Amino acid sequence: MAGDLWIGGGGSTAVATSELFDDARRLGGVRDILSDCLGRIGRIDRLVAGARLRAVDAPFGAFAAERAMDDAASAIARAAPAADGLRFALIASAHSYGIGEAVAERLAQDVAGRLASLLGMVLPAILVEALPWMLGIGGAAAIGVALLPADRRTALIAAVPGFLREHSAALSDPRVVELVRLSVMSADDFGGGVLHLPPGVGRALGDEGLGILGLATSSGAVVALARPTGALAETAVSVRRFGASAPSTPALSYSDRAARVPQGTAQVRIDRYSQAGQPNRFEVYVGGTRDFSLEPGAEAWDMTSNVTAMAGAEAGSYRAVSMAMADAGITPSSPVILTGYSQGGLIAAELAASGDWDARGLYTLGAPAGQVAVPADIPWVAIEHTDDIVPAVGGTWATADPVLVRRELFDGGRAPTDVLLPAHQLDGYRQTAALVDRSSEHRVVSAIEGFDRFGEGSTAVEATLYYGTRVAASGTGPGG
Amino acid sequence: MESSPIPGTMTGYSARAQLAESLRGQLSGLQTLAGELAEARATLPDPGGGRQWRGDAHRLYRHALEQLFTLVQSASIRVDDAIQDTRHALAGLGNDGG
Repeated sequence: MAGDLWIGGGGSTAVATSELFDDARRLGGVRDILSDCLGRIGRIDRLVAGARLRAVDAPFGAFAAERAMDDAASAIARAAPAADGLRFALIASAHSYGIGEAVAERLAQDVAGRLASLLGMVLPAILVEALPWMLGIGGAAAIGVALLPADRRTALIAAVPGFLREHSAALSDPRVVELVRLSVMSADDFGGGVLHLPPGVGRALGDEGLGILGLATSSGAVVALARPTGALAETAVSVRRFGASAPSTPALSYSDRAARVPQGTAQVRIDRYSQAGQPNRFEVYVGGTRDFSLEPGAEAWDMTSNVTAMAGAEAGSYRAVSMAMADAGITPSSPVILTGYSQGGLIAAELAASGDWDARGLYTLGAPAGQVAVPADIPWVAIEHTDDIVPAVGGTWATADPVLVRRELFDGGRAPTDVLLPAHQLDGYRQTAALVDRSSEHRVVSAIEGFDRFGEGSTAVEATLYYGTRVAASGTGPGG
Repeated sequence: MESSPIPGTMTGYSARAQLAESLRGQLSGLQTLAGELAEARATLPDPGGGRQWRGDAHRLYRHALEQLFTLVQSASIRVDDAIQDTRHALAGLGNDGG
């Protein structure tokens, strides 16, 4: 059983379920109707005055009707403010919850940072103490595996991915996901501890303070450490059209846009909206990671791009999308809406934040983009599953304030183990996008109305797919 | 029973005819009002919802919603009563020749 939508952000402190916001909207509607009713019953009552009834010796029914209307007016007069009071209480509770959640997140990050700093200070000493034991246990295990017959050794190694998948339920536990988010945000504090920086200095420079050190610094350090081994090394990229352009229709709704995110070989889709007498407009859709290996190969949507993008540098996939956009005729003054899933969402957010494009909207699904400082004047709707570890890897939403829609995909149920990260699958996000379409919460409604107006007046829409590859390590890639 | 005319204005007969006209206006207004109250009832949130939040706050909220429903429902019932009474009054005036 999947959970309800939790909606927050977008310049408001209110955080609550979509159902609660819907209740508040309904209660506002009831209040308006009852206020109208109260006015109406007063006008009706004035049509026939009691004195007049007595003067003409009216039938008993007319007097009884007067009494019934007085009772009805009294009930309506009590119900209208009651509906308004309940609506106000719901909205106030949403704001209180949002403020409480923000304070709790801040406190949790502060505590996690202090613990990470402490761990960074003492871990080297612990490692020195434990190293002989670790070498002994590790060596014994390695010898044990090496002594196995070749076929059993091969079978053991082949069984590892399946074992990890079958025991991956913990990766879909919202508590683990939050722990990962805090750990990621505390990596800089850990580094500060290793360097024996005073905790106060580390916090002042880190996410909790000036924000000079943070997730980007930690990711950059990972890239720098991995580079001598050849892992996570950026390369040049090239991009080519994948098949012929095809006629399409303007995107309407969150689910429609989620459905347009490419999943196959092509990683980018660009829809060009032609409008009479107006410059072309574009919607750009960027897909998720295709290759999870650390060694860069032909695929530009790989872990190298992921880590490089999180380090705040220009990832191969970022450059590939930029090249595709230029090829599609998008100029710095072309209005564009960016949509992306997973790594594609991170890249879309970085493109919007770059200031190089006239971004009119941003829509991300399961993107580790919490630390991307997208300007507040770009409407941004971010959907993330609270049991999906990938957005958590992007850290907290400290530097941007999108309309954040959260949902626990496997709330109350057991996450499937046929894939490693079941809550991160694009199909699940497409289901959630369909739920967002049905929400009446004003922030998500207002944002999608703006997105959908983008394509109004288009005389033609043409969709083109693009395929980006790494040049240094790639072959020719699939044909277009 | 024959009613007395209102002095200086109209005869008893025309006063009852005018009352009948006013009651017909009242009946029409009450029917519209009944529709609006039905709409208000249908718009009210489901007291059985709120699966995601539990505890005292949810119980209080549900109780308040039920009270609100009762108020709207009682207003609705009394408006229906007023409609029936107005119809009876109009019928009475008709029998009297009004």
